Amino acid sequence: MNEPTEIIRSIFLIVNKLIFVYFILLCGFYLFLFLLSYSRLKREWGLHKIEPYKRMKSSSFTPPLSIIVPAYNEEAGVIGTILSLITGSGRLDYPEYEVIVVNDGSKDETLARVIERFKMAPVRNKVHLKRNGIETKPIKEVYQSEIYPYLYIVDKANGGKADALNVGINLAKYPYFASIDGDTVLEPDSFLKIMKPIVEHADDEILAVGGNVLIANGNRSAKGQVQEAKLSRKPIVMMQSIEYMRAFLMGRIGLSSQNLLLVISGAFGVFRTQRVIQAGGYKADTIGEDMELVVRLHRLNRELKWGARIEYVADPICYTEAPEALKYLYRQRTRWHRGLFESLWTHRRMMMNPKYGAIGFVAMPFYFFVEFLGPLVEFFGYATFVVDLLLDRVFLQYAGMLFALMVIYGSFLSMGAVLLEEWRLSKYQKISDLNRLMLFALSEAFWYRPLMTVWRVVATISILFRRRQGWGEMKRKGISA
Amino acid sequence: MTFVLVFLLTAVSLALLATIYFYLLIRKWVNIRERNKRKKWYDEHSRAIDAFLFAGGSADSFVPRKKHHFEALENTFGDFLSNVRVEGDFSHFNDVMERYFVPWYREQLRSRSWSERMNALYFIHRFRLASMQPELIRHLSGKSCSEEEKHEIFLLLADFGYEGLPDLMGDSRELPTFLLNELMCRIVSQDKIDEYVERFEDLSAPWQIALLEAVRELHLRTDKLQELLERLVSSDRPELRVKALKTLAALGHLSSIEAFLNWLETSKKSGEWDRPRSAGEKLMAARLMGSIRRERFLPYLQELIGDSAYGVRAEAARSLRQYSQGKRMLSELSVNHPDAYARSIAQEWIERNPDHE
Repeated sequence: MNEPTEIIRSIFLIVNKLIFVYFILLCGFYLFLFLLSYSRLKREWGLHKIEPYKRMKSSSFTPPLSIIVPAYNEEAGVIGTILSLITGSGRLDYPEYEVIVVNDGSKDETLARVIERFKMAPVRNKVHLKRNGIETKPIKEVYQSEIYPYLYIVDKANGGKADALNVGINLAKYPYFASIDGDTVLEPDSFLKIMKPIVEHADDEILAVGGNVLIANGNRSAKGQVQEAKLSRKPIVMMQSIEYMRAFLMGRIGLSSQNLLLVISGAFGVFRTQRVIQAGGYKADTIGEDMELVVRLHRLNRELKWGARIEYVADPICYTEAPEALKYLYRQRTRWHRGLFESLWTHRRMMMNPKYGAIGFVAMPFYFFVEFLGPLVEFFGYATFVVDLLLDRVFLQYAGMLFALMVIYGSFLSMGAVLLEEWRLSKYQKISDLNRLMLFALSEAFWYRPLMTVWRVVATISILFRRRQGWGEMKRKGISA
Repeated sequence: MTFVLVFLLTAVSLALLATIYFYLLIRKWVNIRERNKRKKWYDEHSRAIDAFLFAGGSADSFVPRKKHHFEALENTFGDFLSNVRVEGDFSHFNDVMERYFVPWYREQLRSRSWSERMNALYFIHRFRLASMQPELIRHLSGKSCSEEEKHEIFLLLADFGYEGLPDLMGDSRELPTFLLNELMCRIVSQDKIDEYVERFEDLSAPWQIALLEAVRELHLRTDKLQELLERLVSSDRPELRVKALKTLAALGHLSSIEAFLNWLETSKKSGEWDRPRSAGEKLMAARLMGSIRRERFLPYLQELIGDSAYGVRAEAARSLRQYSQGKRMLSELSVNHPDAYARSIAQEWIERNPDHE
């Protein structure tokens, strides 16, 4: 063999080894997260689904809650979301709350539909507060429902989701606020469940609590409520269901047990109003405003020595509509990846900084090296795999075995998440559901994972060109339609 | 070497994957079976259960022996108790509880599973099984008793009126605020409040606050309590001042308007109210002046409507709106008040109805 080929071969050998070490470290970290979640959820397995929340439901000491629903072109889902919060049998089992829908200059009929359906009347001469100087785009009008006085809708000029949330924060009158997306559907007791750590465990102050998000596609719904949770039959949605279970039940529970959680989904989270105001509200010129706020809260928590925690609870269920078309899924994922980068970049000084303890040494590097750079490494892995095969067939056996490990280990983690789901939620009760989950978990490495990898690599490249994105419009069918 | 390592890891992962899959398969199968058994058993006995609950029939035909029997009955009995609003003769119900459920929960309390013990405590509360008191006290000192179980037991013992509770709580006295408030609501009552008022200074700070919260929640009233609350308005501790004002506003009574006016004047002149941290106190004072409406409060409310804190301005406007001449006064303030923020909030409250909030 000639010399240049030999050199290339040696380089690829080293690259292979590096990728292998990265892969092993990754497997170890995920296993650690799984064990953390496992120990917590195993303890709660078999706990009654309703009784633990009854005291909070009937108590006047349960802190009241402002629920902020930013809406942009949500005409299909917004009525369902509001209904799931306020009316009839779907009315939240929460003692005291207000609902603030923020119409962020929608171009469709979002505002008109809400005004008509809930008989919204303008609140005249409303003082628009800028708490701690939180600036927003101009507010055109605030409306209050004549049927449900605790329902408001704010009509404002378009300014993005973060700006809409800030309008809600400026208006919120209660000590905690919840942010939920315009297409999110909740279970009646979701808020009791998400508030439980705040109410009943007062060892540390709790700045924010994240809740579990499931995929609504495939469910049977009526009147803003999910009647029966069903797995979608579409492969792309099925894979997202597995992905959500893994991300929420394993990743987030594991990380939050060590107060290392840097993301609370914009689809469902509760925050302490006063602390968010102190932190200056959501950052308006960012895409991943939900992650950025959580990172900033962690940062201030350390800098100002609040001694507070950010929690994540497994069971407050809310459902969100997942993209069914590749086009919209691609948009969503590139937006998420860009948001992840922006949050990490904004707070880059926390990385490996002893001042921020485990956040600086574990959480930030995890999100940077695994979540952000992971796809690049993986992409490189696929590329070297192909080159290896072309260069020397000796690698075939080794590469094949490594791929098999990836498939099996990935499936093990996915099924581990299904196990956690079974212990805590038991939403999918049929054996056929389990078999489908298993089948798709095994197939992930062949199509879904490479797809996500490529998209996120594309997102990483586009970040370099700094092309901006807006709300990430998606054609919605409406969960409660 | 690497190849062997990858092979071993793959084999271990495969074994784990297979274990989880088969475990889940069996779990789902067992779950479905249990659910069906529970439903079948309930369907077979539903007539007798209904007759027992609603017509005082015999429980002999549905004696619970297995876990799924108890689970089926727990939910039905629980719903029954939630829906029955009138006082009636529940002796037959209590007999069944004592005969079958008390031994069952006794056993569950000894379970190694935390969830099973917690579930037992929730249902002991639901069915008010006071005869479980000795077991609960015994369980408190057990090694397996978690913080959550302790909290549940304290609340249960408070419900059962157990006198030795404060001694028993000992070091665990610092409960989360929510649970402490709930606990206090269970142990104080119109008959007992004066005892607590007399011992107020001996209570720890969180217990003092919780006592005031309970008084507000339960709307308790005695002369001694009124005297304490009015005294606490001038307390050295800001938190106590705020809670006392809040409680007085909720009770809607002041024995001496003069004393309160003196306090308002002193607070204003001392410069204490110029500090941002006294916003809560001013807000509650404004609320009190909206609750007990007196002409002599109006100048103070007109001043507070121009306060630097939004919450105080809004509460003062809301209180003014509650006076019979409130709408007219707010109209005047919306034009004449020297402070632009005061004019805006007055303008807002002209249209708003305080009862609608």
